[in-house]
Parts: sequence; structure tokens; C-alpha cells
Amino acid sequence: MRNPKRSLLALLIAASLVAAGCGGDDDDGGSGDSDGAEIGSGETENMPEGEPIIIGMDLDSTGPGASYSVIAGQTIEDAVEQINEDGGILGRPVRLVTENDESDPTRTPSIVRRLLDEHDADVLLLQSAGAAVQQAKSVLQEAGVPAIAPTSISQSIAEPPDNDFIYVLANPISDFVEVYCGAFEAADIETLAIMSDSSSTIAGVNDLLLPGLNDCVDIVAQEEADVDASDVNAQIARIADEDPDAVLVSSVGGNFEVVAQNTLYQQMPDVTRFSLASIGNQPETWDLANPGALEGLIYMASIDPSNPRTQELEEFLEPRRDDDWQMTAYDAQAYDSVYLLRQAIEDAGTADDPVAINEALQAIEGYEAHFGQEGFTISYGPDKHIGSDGLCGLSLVQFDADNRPSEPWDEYQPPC
Amino acid sequence: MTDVQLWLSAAEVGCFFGLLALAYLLILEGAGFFNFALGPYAMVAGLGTTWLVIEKELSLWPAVAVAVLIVVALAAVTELLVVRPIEARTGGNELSALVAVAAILFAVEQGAGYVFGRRQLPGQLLVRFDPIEIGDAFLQPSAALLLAVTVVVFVAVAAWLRLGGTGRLLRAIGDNKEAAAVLGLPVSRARLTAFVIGGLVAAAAGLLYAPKAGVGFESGLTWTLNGFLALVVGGTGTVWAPLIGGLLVGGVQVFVPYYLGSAAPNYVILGIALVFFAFRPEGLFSRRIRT
Repeated sequence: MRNPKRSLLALLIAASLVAAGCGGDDDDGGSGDSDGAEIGSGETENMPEGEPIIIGMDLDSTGPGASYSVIAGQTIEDAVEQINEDGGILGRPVRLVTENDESDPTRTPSIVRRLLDEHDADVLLLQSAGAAVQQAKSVLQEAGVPAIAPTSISQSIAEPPDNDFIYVLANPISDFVEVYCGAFEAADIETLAIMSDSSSTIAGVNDLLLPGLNDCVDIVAQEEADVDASDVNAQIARIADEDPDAVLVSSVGGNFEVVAQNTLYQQMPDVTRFSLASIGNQPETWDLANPGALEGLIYMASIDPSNPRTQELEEFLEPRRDDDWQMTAYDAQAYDSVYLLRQAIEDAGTADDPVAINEALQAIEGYEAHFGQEGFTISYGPDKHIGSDGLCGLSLVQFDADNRPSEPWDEYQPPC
Repeated sequence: MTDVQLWLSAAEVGCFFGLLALAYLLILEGAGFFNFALGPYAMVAGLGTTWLVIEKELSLWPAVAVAVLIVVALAAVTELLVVRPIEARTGGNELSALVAVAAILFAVEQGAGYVFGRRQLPGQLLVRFDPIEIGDAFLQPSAALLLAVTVVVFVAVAAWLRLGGTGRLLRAIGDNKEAAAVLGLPVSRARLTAFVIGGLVAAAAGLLYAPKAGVGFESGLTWTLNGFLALVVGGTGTVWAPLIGGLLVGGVQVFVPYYLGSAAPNYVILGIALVFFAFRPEGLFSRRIRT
């Protein structure tokens, strides 16, 4: 066969067939490596008996969000296991049921519906990309079942419309804007360039982030590349042509962030570099970077090693992880999400009334988080679905020459 | 067009695409068949090596050897257990075999995700030295090695096809498979050789390109399409055509976003593909046949 057109057509047909085969549907369990997986109902010494309380989790263990969701998902499993070892919730065991929307917003509604209808989930954890979680809101509203998005930072998730049953923990983007602007002022940064990945999640983040930044700096360049790009030299060269005081990389992290930082380090070694939170929370990506390429990079951290509750969680997780494991904010936020659900169910006195659980969630006040600075708390209310109480959940941390997060940035820290 | 860094980047990307296109060409010559599983072969070489080093704590070069052997085995299995039986069953209907190979593409991807894990892993640096400074630009060690190996591979393949017995056999079969079979030439052996050598070239490409941006189980499809496009642009008229095609496609991927913005390359590459499919499906370099 020498005709490239026919050959490519055959490839595309086969791709469609295989994709359809792999894509799955709501009737057969969907796809992904953990669809329908159940954990947490295991055999532990203090394992309570009775009908399990089911936590349904949408975990994008594949897809653009997988770089951080896999970390969070593992800690959620550990937290459920710990709760079961401690006697469960209201004397009942907890079972975690997992589905995977692959960070694809078009799949999220059916995945959430499957968790509710097929698995009879009592409460939900939405550990997926921000754009995907957005699509779950109307389903939750209709079903009247509460859900927490453990690592989401997009405040629009927790804002109307359809936000009665959805909650986030971490500081929202509006807080990021406040911190970045404080940092730019402290470092005399007047012009900024933005390098973004093209994911729908980052498009949503930028919609919230950039208008705020525009009020405190002059954004002189905005470049974008595919989330799986292997080369961004052209985009960084365009940024270099504008000679900004600083560059902010806005990405879901992973490979894209590393490629962008490698290229920035090579083409603009003297420019001040900022990033969102992802790179600091993805230890496995640090070794992807060229030697020294992350040195000086300032990122939005949500974890403070001196926080006693952070230390406490680290002691719990450390024996369950590899030798080179390093705790991240995603671990802490995932852990807190499970315990917030536990508190709400216990306060409601039942796991069978989602409306009561939702009201109990809205009554949580001053929950001491395992991330952020010491004293950082989470509270919810009927009109407060973003948990963070103030900027204490954030800090700016700088990478060292070994491509590892080191000390808090000495030029500026958010007020606590 | 004066930014040396962009030229270096275009050369690096272009050499990678060129190697993949060369692998296509070799299999096309020997088997008259577009092996779309080449991208996943390259992915398995890069991802497998890193997995063996990081997860299994194997030394670098043994890991490289094991990963390359896996790719060679995959290439041989593709020919012996998939393409050949299907073509025999369907009376040489290559479309059926092509669809089966496309399915192998996805099977290898998913299999790699299952075995090696679904997260992106860093490529392994095969050489370590300081980046080479060229004016204001830097050539990373992995890029320098990719460029050097690309030249060596193309020269070696060109010499093999021109001077080597099996290489000349491959060309003869590529010129006319039916006539070669009538003449009693070992067509089956040549086909298998083509698949294995093509797999080796793809493995080299994957190993050398993985350090640039890491490699994940889903890298294969993108690499398959880029290599195919490089072959379509370059053509099949000479062994150097895939390299020319690869460098042109690499140049488009690097310079178009610089001059026209980030969204432009997708449209430009689509346009180039449509133009070549419509007006010059034989590519820039086609084989001249004396009459």
C-alpha cells in the first residue's frame, strides 16, 4: 500500500474504533485504571460492621489533571483506611468507590451520575480538573448530594449558580491575585509575561487571574502551547522580545511546566519567574527539569513544614510511601477533605440524609487544616463554600539549585 | 529568522521526526506497508528505559538494551503475528492489516501505561556534558546527541541500502514486490528485516528525544502522526527525503508559532498536509523510473 491518504484514513478509522472501544460508556464501567474500584471496606482489626457509608470519588487518574490527582487520590485512600481503623463513621464502615473522568468535562456529568445512581454514593469527592468539576455542579444540584473538590482553586466552582452542594478547601484564585500583586510591588516588578498551557482548566484559571493581575502590573506578553508540547522555544522567544520584568507560568504542571521552565532558564536566565501551585506539589516532575533549571522559581505554596498539623500528617503518611516521598499540599488537602466529610456526617448524625450532611458542612467552623501556615482554618456557611479563612493558606516558596523547594521567598510573604 | 536557539530547536525536533519518517520508509521499502505502530515503539524505548532505571534500579545501558530488545520483539511480532497472517488470510488486503496495526498502536500504548505507569517520566540522559554554547544559544547534551546520531543513522542506512546485500534486496523488493517474489527472492525475510530495522530506528529516536520533554504512555500517537507527516512531506524518492521532511515539519513547528502565534502551527500543518495529499502525495522527492 503506497497511498498515504488511504493509509491515514485507515489509521483515523481505526483510531475512532479503538477510542470508542476504550472510551467506554456509563453502562459498562467506563474506562481508566480505577473505574468502579472499591477500597476502604477492607479487613482491619477495628473494622466496624454494618452497611457501609459510600464516598464516591471522581479521580482523573489519567488525563491532564492526573499529575496532581494521583497524589491526592492516594492520600484519600489512606484517610479512608485510617477512619475505618478508628471505627468508621457513626459506627459504620466507609467504602470509597472511584470513577475516572480523565479530566474531560464532557464525561464528568455521566461519571458523577454513575457514582450516585450505580454506586449509591452518600457524599462525593471531585478530584479532577477544574473545568471538569464545573460540569458536575448542576448534577449535584439536581441530586442534592454534597461534594468537596479537594484541590480545586477556581472560586467559580464554589460560586453560584448551582453551588448549594459543592465546596472547595484551598485559597481561591482571587487570593492568588492578592499575593502576586503584593509580591510584584515588593520586587518592583512592573511588566509581566504569561506562559500558559492550553488546557481548559488553565483557561478558566486565567479568566480569573489575569484581570486581577492587570490591575497591578502591565502584562506585556501572553503565550500559550499545547499541554503536551515538547518544545516552547518559539513562545519563550516571543516573550523575551518583550523584555518583561518577570514571567508567570500558568499551567496544570507536569511535563508542560518543566518544558516551559527549562526553556525560560535557557533563554531568559536572569528574569524573575513565578508559577502557580502545581510545580511545588509534584515532586516527580522536579527531576524532569534540566540541572538547576528551577533555581529561583517562585511558586504559590500551600504547605508550611513548621505547621504541627502538617507534621502530624507527614508522620502518618511517611510509612505508607516510598523512601523518596515528599509531602505536598495536595496530600494535606485530600486528607482534610475526607475528614471534613466525616465531621459533617457525624454532626448530621446520619449518612442517609444528604441534605442534613450538607447543612452540617455549612456549619463547620474553624476546622484546623493540615496545610497552610500554623493556625490556618477552614470554615463553611450557606454563602461561604470556599473553606479558606484568610491568606494564611498560602506562601511564596523558592526553588534551590538542586531543583527542590527550599525557603520561603524572602522578598515577600502573604500577611497571616 | 536570526535566533540561533530557534534554529537549534527546529533541528532537534526535525531530526526526531526525520528518524521516525526513516523508520516508516524502511518498512515501506521492505513491506510496502505504513507501520503506524512506530510512534509507540519509540515511546516504549524511551519510557521503558526510564522505568527500568527508576523503578527496577537497572543500570542505564542494560536498561537501554532491554528496552530496545522489547521494541525489536514488538516489531517482529507485528509483522509475524499480525500483518503477515492477516494479509495471507485476506489475499493481500493491506487495508485490513493496516487497521490491525492501528489497533496495535493503541494496544501498545495502553499496555505501556499498564506496565510502566500512566505518569510522564523523564527521559534518560545517555551522555552528560555541559550545554554547548553557540552565540547566545545553548545546545543541550541530549540534543547534540540526537543530531549526531541522526546523521550517523542516515549515512549508515544510505550505505546499507546501496552497498549491503540485504539493503539492496530491500530496495529491489520495494521497487516491485510481485516481481521479486516471482524471481524467488526471499520476500518474507526482507519484510521481517524491514520491520526490525525500522523498529530499531524508531527505538533510537524515542530514546534520544525522551530527555527533551519526558515521555508518557500517550506520546506514541503524536509521534506516529508527526513521523508520518514528515514522510508525506519529504517523500520516498531517496533515503534522505525523510530527513528533509522532518526538518521542514520541525521548522514549521518552531518558527510558525514565533511569527504567527501559538495557535498557528496546527492550522499550518493541517494546510501543509492537505496540500501534499491533494497535489503532491509522492512528497518532495519521488523516485524517477527510466522508461
